[in-house]
Amino acid sequence: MKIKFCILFFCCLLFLTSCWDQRLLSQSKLVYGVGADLEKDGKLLVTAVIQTIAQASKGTSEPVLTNVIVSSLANTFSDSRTKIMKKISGEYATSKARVLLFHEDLAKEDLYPVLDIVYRDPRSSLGAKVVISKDKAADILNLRVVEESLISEEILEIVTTAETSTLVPEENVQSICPTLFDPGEDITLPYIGKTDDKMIDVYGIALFNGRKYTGYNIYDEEPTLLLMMKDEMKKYAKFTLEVNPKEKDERNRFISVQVKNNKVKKELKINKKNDITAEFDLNIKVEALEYPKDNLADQKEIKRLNKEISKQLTKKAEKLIKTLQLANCDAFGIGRDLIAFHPKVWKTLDWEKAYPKITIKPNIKVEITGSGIIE
Amino acid sequence: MSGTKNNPKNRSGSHMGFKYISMKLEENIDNVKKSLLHSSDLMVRNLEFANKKIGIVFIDTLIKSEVLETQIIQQIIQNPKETIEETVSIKEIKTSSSFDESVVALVKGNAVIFTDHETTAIILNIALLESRSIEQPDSEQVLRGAQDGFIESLETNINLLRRRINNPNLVIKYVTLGRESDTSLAIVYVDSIANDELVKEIERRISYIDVDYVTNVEEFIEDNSFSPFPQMLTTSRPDRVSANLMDGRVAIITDGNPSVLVMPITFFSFYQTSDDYNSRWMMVSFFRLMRMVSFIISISLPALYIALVSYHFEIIPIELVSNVKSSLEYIPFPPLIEALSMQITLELLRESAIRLPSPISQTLGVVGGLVIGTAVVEANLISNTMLVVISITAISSFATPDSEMGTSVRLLGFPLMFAAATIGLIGIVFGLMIILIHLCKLESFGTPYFAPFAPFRRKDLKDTIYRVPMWKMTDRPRSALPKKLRSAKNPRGWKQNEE
Amino acid sequence: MKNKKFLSRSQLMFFILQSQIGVGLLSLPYMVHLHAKNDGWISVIIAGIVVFVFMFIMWSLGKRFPNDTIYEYSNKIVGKYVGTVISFMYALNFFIISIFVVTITVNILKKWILTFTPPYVIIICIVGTGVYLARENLKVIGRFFTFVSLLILFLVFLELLSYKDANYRYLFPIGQAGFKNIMIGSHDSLTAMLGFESLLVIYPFVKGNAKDVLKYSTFAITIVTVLYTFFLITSFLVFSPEEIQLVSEPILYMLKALSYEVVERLDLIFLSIWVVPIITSFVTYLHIASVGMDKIFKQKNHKKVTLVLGILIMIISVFIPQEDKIIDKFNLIVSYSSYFFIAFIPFILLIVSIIRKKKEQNQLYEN
Repeated sequence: MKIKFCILFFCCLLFLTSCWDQRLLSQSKLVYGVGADLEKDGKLLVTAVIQTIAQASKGTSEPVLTNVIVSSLANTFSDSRTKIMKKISGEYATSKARVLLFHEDLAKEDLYPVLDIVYRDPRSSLGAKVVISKDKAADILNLRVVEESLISEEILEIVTTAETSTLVPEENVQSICPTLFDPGEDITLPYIGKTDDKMIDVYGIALFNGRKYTGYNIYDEEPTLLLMMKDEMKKYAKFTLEVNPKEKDERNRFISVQVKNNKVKKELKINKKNDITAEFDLNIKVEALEYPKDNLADQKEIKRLNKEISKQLTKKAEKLIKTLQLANCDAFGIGRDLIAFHPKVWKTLDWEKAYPKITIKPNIKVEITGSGIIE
Repeated sequence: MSGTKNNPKNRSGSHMGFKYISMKLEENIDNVKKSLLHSSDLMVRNLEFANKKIGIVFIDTLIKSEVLETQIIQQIIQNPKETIEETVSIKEIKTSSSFDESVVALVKGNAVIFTDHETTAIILNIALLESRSIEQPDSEQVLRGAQDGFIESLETNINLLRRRINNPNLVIKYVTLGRESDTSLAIVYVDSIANDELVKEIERRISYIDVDYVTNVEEFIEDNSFSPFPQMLTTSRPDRVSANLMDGRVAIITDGNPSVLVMPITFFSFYQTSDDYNSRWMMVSFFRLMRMVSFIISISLPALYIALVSYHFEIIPIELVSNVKSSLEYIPFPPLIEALSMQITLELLRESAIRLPSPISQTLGVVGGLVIGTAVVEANLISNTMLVVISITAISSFATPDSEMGTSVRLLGFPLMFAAATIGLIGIVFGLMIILIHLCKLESFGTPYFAPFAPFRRKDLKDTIYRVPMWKMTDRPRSALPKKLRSAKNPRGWKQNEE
Repeated sequence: MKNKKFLSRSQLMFFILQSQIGVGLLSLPYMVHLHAKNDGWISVIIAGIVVFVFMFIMWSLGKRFPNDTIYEYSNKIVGKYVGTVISFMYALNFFIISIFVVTITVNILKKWILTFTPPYVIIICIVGTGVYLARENLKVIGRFFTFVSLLILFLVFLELLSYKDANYRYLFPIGQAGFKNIMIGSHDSLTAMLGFESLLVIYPFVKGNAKDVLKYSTFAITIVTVLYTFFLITSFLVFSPEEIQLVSEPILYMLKALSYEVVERLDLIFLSIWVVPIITSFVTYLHIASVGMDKIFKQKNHKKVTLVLGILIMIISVFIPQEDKIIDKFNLIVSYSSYFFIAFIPFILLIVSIIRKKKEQNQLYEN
């Protein structure tokens, strides 16, 4: 009987002294977005956006959320956590961070050391989006409110919408990791910046080589083309092309098409001298969204438009490939294909030097299959 | 094999020590009055029969007066035959030479006729059973099923059962328990279906009961009194009992208690209602699944909430986190204290609602809901989300067809809450594992409690968390180990004969 | 020595399944990749075949003595003294492996979820729950194991969710790691598949003839091998070969980034549910160790012995420090010493029993 009492006593003791791992939600300060800039002396300026409840709405049923921006100078990301922790009340919780913003200067140095703590900490958020910014991250995050929504949510929504429109690749901290370590493929990340009227704009895609940002970007229609060639088309993909340059009226020169279907065939041809040619055959079916000239019922016109659009897109793709090779960014993962299917050839090459010299031939065929509810 | 059986000699009435019936009528009647301690409702009617003095002794409050008057007294006065037994027109006549037996018979509502110069007494059964009318039991309401329920009288209850099972194999065995109370019990089963070993085991366990007063034998004969789960089904519905009898189970009816015990039972029987067999199988399967979900919710939802909010808020998606956080922002207590206090308040509300008469309890429901709920949130004592969680838990635990099981399940949520507050989600996993191990261990009279899931019996699954159409249920469940497994033969044969 | 028939045939299958699936699976892709690179899945399949061979030896032994556990027939084969030594070694081996299971479970839980909780709390929970189940007879254990096998399906479903990031090119080229490396990978996989040696102890408790036992045990081993291969291939598809060298629990890691409408960090959910197969492995080892200790110390009360063993495990585990170095060493010792118990001794016993023509004298007819 006494033994049972002792055991019960110890169990109760356990409960009284427990909760070692408890991190109460009410006492945590949730960090929604983090930005990092490189300062002149090599230190990091880390800015954290914390979402809190405004004091005025205490007790009412509609809490008003506001942002609190905290920044600090530190040597590493983890060091910055310690320094920021000293400035805020409550627990500093980066586990729900949705956006990681890096200034392009910082990204030009190695990206991985900054991200190492995100990979190592069991509580970090690997689902955060990684974004490269043209302006300083601290400047962007200090905007606080953009078009009536809080800055971190704004960036997140903008990037997400861009992903759905096939303007930027869908990447988060976890998805870039395998590629960061892969010698045969390179990552591409969204590239945003602050506009003059205090809004955020997605400019294009930033190109990386290995773990460093190359400084090269691609703009306009090239990001969509790049993603389509990688077979990563999302819900929408649109092109606006100038097909009638001789028209007097500016608007009649252009056609806007939306991609309905995209079939990609990638072929690697290696000849005896180990010269590599990569051929991309794209078969795109589009629907015309906007064509003021309005004669899409005419089959001849459609055929002409098909040829013209195909020619234009192929030219754009060639320009895109030139930029890629200039930046030494193997976005298509041709190196990975070599490792997988032609390991002997891979072993003889130094991919850093060989990639800019290989030939990549795009071949785009466009077919207009629909034109909305009028002809 | 059997232990000390109930010793009839240790019964009430024998402490006065009169063992025999004397030849003298007055002495007998005096002794009777002394045995019953001169109870005011003890009456004697003196008559003459065949030139001998007889005395009819009866307890006035226990007998049917008109039967006494017309069938006994009138018959004796007007149509005397050779013996008293031939004269009276009573269905149950016994003779006895034991004084004890006569006194006990008196207390049970019999009239005892003592004859002068004879040492045998005649016992006539004219007991009056006051009982309420048969109506649907309050705690087990159904929409489409039968609307009658058991009442306190043993005879009426057996009547209700016999009318449903018109089978000569339906065995009723009377047992008397209780030294001072002499309560009657009836063990009911269908001999051609129920397992002989099971019946023997039940009788053996009952034979060990040696107490003064018994109304409910459940805790005396169940396998494990320390388990939070009931191991016998307690029901007041005759249709439920008869369905279980046809499955090979055994029922115990106690006089004075409208609840009937059915054994052996499995966990899933508590989640079946009579409605399930009166509706179509698709609806029934949906509702059965809902009840299973309600079980899981009522046991684990508060604990899950505590774990999520205290330890693992990363699991909550980002859109929800701000909502939850804002509702928790100004609450001074940790989530465990919030949950505990709200659960206890809810239990108090429930208890008080039972005690109060119905008009007041409705008002109290409104008061409890609005005032406590709203005011407590406005005062920033409990968070909104916690209220939502506790209410959903309460509602789902009330959805259990058997209220005893519902309460056990709700109470099992408390240790889970503590486990969640100590080590988070892992604590809940350990807690649920311990409960599951307990369910696998538990046996009700030799039947595994968690069948057909624990010893996995695929054939029995057809009537647990879903119900297959009636014509597919051709076999009895094996959990009661019945003698006859097959219960139906091709009930839709007409369809095949159509083509 | 009468051993009652507690387990049905399908319960046997689930028993062996749950004993094998344990904490080793979480770090299996990482361990195998160290040597076998992306041909690790071949290593797993080879390990499965090797497990089948070992199990076949154990089954043949059991077939000759259908009513005895190894603790009983080892006496019959090699005499009383050597037999008792062998029984004691087996019981001790199972005891040490259960301590090992507790230690690595505490390690993984502390690494991923409960960083600040003192180890003794987790140890008390694991050992407490384990003792609560292991003190029962095999009937109850079989029921529980059968029921929780449903959770494996759920875990497979969770894994399937991470396929949207899969890149099949990480798996190629095939066969470049070389035979020796693949065999080292098989050795690692074999350590993760330990648990089938419980057949030595539970064979007499199974309802069914020898052919049934073989059939259902083979089912169990096949399912485990297929499951492990599936998890392995998924890990290799999601992580590039260079990254997987950094990630020591790839199966959890790949779920960390997934985000859905209702729920986010799926790895926490996966790990919480995974605790259940881990505890079942622990229960198996504790139970067969206590059955052995029962027979050796001639105790009748199985429940008491289990409790005593549980308390011993608790006390010893508390004193093992949670350091990576020590755990790696422990892992090494366990994986190499297991060969002695799963391969060497059963084989020797089988040969000796064939040579000495020792079979069970009265073959009871089983139905």
